[in-house]
Amino acid sequence: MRLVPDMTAKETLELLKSHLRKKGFGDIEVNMTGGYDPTETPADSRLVQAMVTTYRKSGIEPLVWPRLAGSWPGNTFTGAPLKLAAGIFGLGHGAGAHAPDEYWLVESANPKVAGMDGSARSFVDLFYALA
Amino acid sequence: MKSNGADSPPLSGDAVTRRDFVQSAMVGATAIALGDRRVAFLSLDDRDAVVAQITAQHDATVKMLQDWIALPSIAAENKNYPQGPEYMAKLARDAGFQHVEVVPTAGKSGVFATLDAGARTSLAIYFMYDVKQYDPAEWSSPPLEARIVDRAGVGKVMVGRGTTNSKGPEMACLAALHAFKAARVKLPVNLVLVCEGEEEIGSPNFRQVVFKPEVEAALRKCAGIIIPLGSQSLDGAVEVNLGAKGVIEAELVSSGEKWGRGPKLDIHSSLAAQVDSPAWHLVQALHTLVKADGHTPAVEGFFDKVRPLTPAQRKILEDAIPKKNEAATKKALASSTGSRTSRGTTRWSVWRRSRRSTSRGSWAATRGQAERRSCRTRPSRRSTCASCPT
Repeated sequence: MRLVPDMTAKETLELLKSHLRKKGFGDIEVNMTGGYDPTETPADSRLVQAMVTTYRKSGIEPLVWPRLAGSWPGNTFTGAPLKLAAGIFGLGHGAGAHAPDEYWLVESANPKVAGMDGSARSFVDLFYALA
Repeated sequence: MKSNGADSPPLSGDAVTRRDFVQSAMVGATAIALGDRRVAFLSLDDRDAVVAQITAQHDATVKMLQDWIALPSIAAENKNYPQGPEYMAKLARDAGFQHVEVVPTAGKSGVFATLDAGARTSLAIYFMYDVKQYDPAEWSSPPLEARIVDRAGVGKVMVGRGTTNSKGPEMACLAALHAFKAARVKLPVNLVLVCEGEEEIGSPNFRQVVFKPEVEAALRKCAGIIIPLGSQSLDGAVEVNLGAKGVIEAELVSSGEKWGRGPKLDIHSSLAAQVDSPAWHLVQALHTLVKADGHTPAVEGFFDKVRPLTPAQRKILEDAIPKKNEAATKKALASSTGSRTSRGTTRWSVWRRSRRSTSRGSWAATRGQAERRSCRTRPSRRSTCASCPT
């Protein structure tokens, strides 16, 4: 199950168990093996601004979007007590995560899409943008 | 900044070193303003030297990634631990991190590393060194061989488990560090690296890595943290996401023992005529979790805690929606008969599903392999259904 603010992993797990009990499936075991709360970072944070600057330097106007539909444990950093900004960053392209024939682009046929070296370059530029 | 040795000759004019700048900055605000301009000028030269090095080391970078792909750490199968974290630590050391340590947890070890460049700003980087399971029979190219394959209209791609999720982008980040090192250019930021080996099972022990006192102390100095990802779609577009969804990975188990019905042992399917089936009991339970459309959550109270959109978020959505191409995504990923009707409301849905829709329907059809491994269809005494994160 995927969660958005202010849903929490703990409360949502309880909702699932309670739902199953009410529907007559209280015997079904629910074993949570992992999970965490949603990640949020302010648009005006220094990190996000540096990311946007870096993409623009490469001639790309990034599309700002509230959140990735997937998950990573960024909440460990954005939540208390650290409250850090957290960003998903990098030029480059790949596909097929969790599926057969997963790939990562090494040499791009499209000049608008970065290959391995262009992806590495984006990190160089982010470091300078943030310095 | 070139990391000139202490015996470097003093430079003059625009060719001022950061050390010179720091010294001059101490004398007053005027010097700071001047110094900043000079540093910016120098950074451009340095940046070009680093970028040239990235190109020069391309083959070595590809080889490093291939070598890493050959060592898949899979937490769900307890595969390649402790080799995975040890290899991760070596990669960090090779990239120039001065302090590198494997951090044990109650589960799989993490890795913590720091690179002090003497810079004013510190940035943290998150890596996962684990990957998802794979079935080589389903691959057109062996998943651990990381072959370079021509993909029409895309380019030369490396095919292998973990190439995009997430060793490829992580190696691109490491390649940048190798390039700084080889070009003898000082990094403009200090780095703090935190890695885990259980991302694909929902990071159950990651807090033990992050909140180890010295790790937490290092993170507190950082301006933020990034997770490397190849963010471009095939038209070159990039999204900047202001967050990510949380997740619950859970396994639902239906058993004869807990149910009080059904078989005590696995039995022949013909005996369903006499003995109840925990598998069908599980199916009935799963059926209650989503509405008839097959995707809207039906768990009571599921949306109660969802925070309404702020005006700022609404503006972000209104600006972005006309630029997004949901139809192209559907065309690329969904079967022609199986995709959902495109409606504006899906954009606003608070529970948007990111997961891959497999042709084999099942609850939380996130990852085909995990489902097939754990959803038993024969009338056994226990039936399980797993959902998996990320």
